[in-house]
Amino acid sequence: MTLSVAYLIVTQFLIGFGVLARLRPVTKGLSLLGLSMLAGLGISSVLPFVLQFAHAPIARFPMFIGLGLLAALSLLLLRGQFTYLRDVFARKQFMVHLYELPFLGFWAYLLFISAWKCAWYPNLPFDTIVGPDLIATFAVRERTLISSVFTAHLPSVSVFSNQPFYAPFTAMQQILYLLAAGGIGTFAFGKLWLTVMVLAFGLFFYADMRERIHPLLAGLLVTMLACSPELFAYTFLVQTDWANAAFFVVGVMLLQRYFDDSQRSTLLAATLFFAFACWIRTETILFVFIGSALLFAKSLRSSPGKAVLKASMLTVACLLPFIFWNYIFLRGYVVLPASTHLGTLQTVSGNYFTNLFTIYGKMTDTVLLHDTYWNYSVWAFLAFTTLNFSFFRSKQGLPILIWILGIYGLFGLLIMHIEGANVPFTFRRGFFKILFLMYFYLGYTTLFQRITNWLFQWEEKTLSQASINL
Amino acid sequence: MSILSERFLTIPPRRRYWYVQLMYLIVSCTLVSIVLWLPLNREWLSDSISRFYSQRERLDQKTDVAERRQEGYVQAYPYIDLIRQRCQPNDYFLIPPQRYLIRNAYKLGRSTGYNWLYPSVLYYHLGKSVQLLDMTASDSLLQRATHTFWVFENKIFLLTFKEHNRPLVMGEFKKYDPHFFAYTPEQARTYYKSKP
Repeated sequence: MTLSVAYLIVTQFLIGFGVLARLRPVTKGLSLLGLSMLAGLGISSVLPFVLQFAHAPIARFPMFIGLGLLAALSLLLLRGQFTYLRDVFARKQFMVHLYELPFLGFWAYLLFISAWKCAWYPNLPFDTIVGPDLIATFAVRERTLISSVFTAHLPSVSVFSNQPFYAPFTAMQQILYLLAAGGIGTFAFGKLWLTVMVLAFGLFFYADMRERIHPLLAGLLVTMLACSPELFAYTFLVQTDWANAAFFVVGVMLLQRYFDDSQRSTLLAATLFFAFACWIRTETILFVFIGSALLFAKSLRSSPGKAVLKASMLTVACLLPFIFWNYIFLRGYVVLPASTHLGTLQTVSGNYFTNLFTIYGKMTDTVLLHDTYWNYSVWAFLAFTTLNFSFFRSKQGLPILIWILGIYGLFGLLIMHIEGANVPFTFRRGFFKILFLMYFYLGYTTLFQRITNWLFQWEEKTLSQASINL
Repeated sequence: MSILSERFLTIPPRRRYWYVQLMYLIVSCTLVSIVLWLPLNREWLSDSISRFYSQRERLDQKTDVAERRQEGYVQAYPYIDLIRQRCQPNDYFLIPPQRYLIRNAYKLGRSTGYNWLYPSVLYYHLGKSVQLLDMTASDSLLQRATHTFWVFENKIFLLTFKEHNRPLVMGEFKKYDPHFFAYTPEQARTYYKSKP
């Protein structure tokens, strides 16, 4: 790894670390490490716009100065956080049990080859080379975000995808990592950020799960999830969907934490991640409304005024990146080609509900229950959820189920009404969000909580018997 | 429970802790083995994942960026290289209608649906090394075209426009809808199998 790539990763981590240490949404060191890296990736993706508006070139030197400044500013937020950091980074927090090694070994086996494929190959998916990587490559080459892609190429051709106008996060990460790699070496294609993000999200997801259920069960669930070929494929193919799912699911997980601990800073952290998810894929704003509704419903009993305020805050915060990219940057700063039709609504011919249910049927048959995409991960979720409801009729984790069903329902409407949205591509990759949430939900179920309690009781009993005997 | 037998209770706590860990280790090994033993998972690991590892064995020695690009864009590069070698930055390359290539040289591009022909894909690879023109450009602009791809006996050639071949080529290209694009090989196949 070159020094410049290492510098980029370290500064991105520090940028997120300062912010997250101030917000304190998590209490475990591993969770904080994963979350900091993700937040750093999100915040640093704004930097190319800052340079562009400051009339600075999109080049390595100004970018690195900007990253350094952001990291320094973020570290200032660490003042007064010593006690929190000492507790979070206590040695005990980082202890990995012997029995976790088989799980870790298997994930390492998958991650290693994913990282190699990601680094070795150039960007291959069609959507990426006509979208984010096209923008990034020419921005780096021409040292401006308003490159010839926008000024010369797209206005001169009749057939072009909406991918260049989709959402900026992926393109901005490509820019940062292309600049750091300088076109040479193992990471020349600028895709390392994807591996970094997958690792950071995996770390946070597992750490969060083993905080609530026994590590043995958390390991089993994450292993089931890891054996999803489609999800795995996008850990080395650069697209918007994996990143979108990761940031969105972190938002949901933090919002769920807020429902449990009622800490305002946790809600702020959740909002930050939801806003980044909208920054990654534009249509995410529609799914955020589920969160706003849940937040409203949860806070309504204590204070109707505050309930409205919190739900509005979440919605407005997520609208900001959406408005900035779609209206201020794309339609204000960049002149869109005349033939661009972004987010065009399509009319529905025939019976509305028949069409809608046909779409849901297709979503279920060709994506949800498609074994080749997910192997057993969806079936395992359905089996464990059925078991949970058969034995325990508790409402534990109900908001997560609402998220899952809500996203599924909204996807059907989206596919029916938005031109270009479809089941085989849009929903198949959008399903990553649902899949992560399915496993997040399983960690919340009474079934897994009971098994966890039983295991911990057994451990305690076994060890305390020894003390008594001694 | 047998583990709490009299003999077990005499073991010191630290060793006892490790016994518990060892038992969990056996359980976790069993769980991982069961998950990996399931038929679809087994197939995925022995097919896709081991293929990726073989790919790594074969390709990891190649560290040159140009070689890696060549390997990644194996479908597009023969054509991209041809344009790069033969055209200058002030030349105009006319992108032939995709339907023309599918209809006349389907076999050559059936695995891709001729995706490399997509204007932004060509721009991604070629940048400003040539001026790209598509068939929807005005007639006066089309007259500036200096090169294009032409199919002859199921092979694709880079054709240089001359006064005598321009009307023939333009006339042939204008038979095909320039707005059509088969994004997937399936779409290309459907068009190829439809009546001309």
